[in-house]
Amino acid sequence: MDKNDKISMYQLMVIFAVCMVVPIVRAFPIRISELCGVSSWFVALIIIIPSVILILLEHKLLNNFKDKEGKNIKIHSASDLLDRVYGKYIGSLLKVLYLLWSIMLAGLELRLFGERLISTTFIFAPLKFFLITMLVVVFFLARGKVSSFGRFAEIIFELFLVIFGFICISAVSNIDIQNVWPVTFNRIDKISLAVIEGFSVFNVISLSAFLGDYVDDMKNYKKYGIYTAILSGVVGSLVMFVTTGTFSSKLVEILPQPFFMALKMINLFNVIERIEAVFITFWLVADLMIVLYYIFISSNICKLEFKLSSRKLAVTPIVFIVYILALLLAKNYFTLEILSNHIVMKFNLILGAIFPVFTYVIAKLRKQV
Amino acid sequence: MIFYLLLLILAVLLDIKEIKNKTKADIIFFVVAIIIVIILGIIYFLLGEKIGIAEYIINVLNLEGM
Repeated sequence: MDKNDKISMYQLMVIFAVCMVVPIVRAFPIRISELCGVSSWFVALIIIIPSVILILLEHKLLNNFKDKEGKNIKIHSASDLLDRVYGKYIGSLLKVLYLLWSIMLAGLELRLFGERLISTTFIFAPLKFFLITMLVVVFFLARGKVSSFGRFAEIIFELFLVIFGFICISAVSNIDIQNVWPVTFNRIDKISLAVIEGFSVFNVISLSAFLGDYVDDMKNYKKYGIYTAILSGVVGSLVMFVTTGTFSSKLVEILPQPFFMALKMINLFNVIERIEAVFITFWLVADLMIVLYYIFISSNICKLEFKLSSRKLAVTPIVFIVYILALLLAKNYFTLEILSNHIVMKFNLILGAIFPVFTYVIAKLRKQV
Repeated sequence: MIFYLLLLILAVLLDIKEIKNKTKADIIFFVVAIIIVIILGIIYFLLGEKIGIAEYIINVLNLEGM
């Protein structure tokens, strides 16, 4: 690895925050409004609590790890952590599991990107064209430096804050307050389920720790992780507020791209229309970043697990596997949505949240943290 | 299929520059990974239109109603 190819924890979390926009906009409105109705925007804020707890546990694992004599050991990445907690063989098995998971997520996001473009903008265009175009860009970017990716994410992040802020302010005129108020909590089981669903989007943050050997300041994991959790919760809440406020929760449940539809309704003083085009542009960049993020992670797991001298060697096979997987995942968009919203979410929850907690418990029992 | 192979050859040619002066582990990993890619490619071009992972999982878990 190039010794200059380092990023800060802030940059890693910025990468993650930009990537999170894609699943938040896609999955949040439909699933959470289906479960919580009018109060769904508030439920999105509750997701911050489990997210912060997860960040605190992971921070302890990555920064307070001790050896047998009780001395602090520097953990380089999640890969190193798994080896130290579970030993060589089980650790390797788990790393392969995380590798497969990250490749699967890359394939899923790539396919969803293609399907979304077809359903929103280019209705009769071939799917493979979009997948190949995206992967050609990803292929060359993934062979580049992680530090360049981090700087790119910083620029996009600031741009996103401006665009998203502008969109939310513009959408205020379309929001019917009866659709988002009063907030009621009648069904605690549905609210818990909605929080779990929303949390299963966020807990992909656990994968970021596999890029730990590129990060200069691992000690800031807690600080920037909590910022990211709060930001993701607020963005999720605003997305819910705009969509349910514009259409009502009953309508949001049946719309194919509710947030996109809500943006289509924006009309500022009968002068500014088609604001959704600005968001689509950003959305495509976020799609590129999320696929790139998973490919960076999977290639780095390959590098660490198979003792490769360069991460770049793993990029070509992974990109081609992601392409094949994206095509093999589903025959149509409806089954792909079921796979994404019901099955992958549960995998996210197991590998992204339950498993790190389990690792923490084991490390605690062995007095390693 | 031909387009897929062409892209794969181009990508491998780009990587050959990287492989020069590399360790045995690098070369073994790369060769095995490319073989896996070719096998997956063949599976897709033979069965791609007939199978979908999502449909298979939905049938197994009985999730049609969702």
